[in-house]
Amino acid sequence: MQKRTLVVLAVVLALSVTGFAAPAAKSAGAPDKAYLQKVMDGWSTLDTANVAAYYASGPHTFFDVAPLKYGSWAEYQEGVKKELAGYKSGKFTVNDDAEVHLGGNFAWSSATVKEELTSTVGKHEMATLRWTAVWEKQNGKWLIVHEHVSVPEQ
Amino acid sequence: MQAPDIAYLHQLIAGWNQLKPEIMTQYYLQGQHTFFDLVPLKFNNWQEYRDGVAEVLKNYKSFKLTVNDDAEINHDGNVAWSSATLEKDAVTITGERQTGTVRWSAVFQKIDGKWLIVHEHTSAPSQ
Repeated sequence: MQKRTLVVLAVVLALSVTGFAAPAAKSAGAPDKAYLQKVMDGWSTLDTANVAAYYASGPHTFFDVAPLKYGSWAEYQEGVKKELAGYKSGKFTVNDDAEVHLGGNFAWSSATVKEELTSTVGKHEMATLRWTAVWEKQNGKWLIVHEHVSVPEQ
Repeated sequence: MQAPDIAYLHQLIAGWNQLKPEIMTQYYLQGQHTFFDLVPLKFNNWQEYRDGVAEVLKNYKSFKLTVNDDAEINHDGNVAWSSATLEKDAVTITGERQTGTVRWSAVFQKIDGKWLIVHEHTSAPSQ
């Protein structure tokens, strides 16, 4: 009886650990404002590997501050890696104007985002970004299938 | 009204090229909605957007946007979203010619049988 109890407890423990090790992307529930900040927290690490789970693979259009556009997450990731190589720390804070709208298997969000970056030579940069994202629920996960990040023209 | 398609995107941009923002009112949902244009940081509703663009266009004697071949549009039920790059060719009132490529994202929602823009983001890549 004690041995059987121990086996059951071991199985429960193993399942619990598996749950804590789940991928970062939401497996249930649509994106919300807290989730937008979670994405930005990932970007704040300046390591694109920490945000890859939020983006759909395959051909998708992404507009970043620069360059003109990327045709897939793979291109986006490589491009941003090169840009971020010039920085040693960053922080992206979603402002209170964030909105998330749901529509079936799609959702869309908009927000302004406070950007704070420190370059490798110690220069501090601050800006307010505009962030639009279109999300699609794929195999139970909400993924970004289009994103548009920009700063207003001077 | 059928769902927006690539031809509809061209129709929207042709409307903007008339340089009379008020004629675009029919395409946008009224009420509080966020719009991001080239400038300023944001608009909170169509009226602000319309008036803001009208103010900017006062500085131009011609302004033309052309939808490039990378335009795409996707639908799911009563929601659609599009993205495209646009070629800008404008001349200011002082005679300065401005050209470049801008990015355009739009979200449409079908409301009372009409497809209306509920969010739009237009920007130029930073230099």
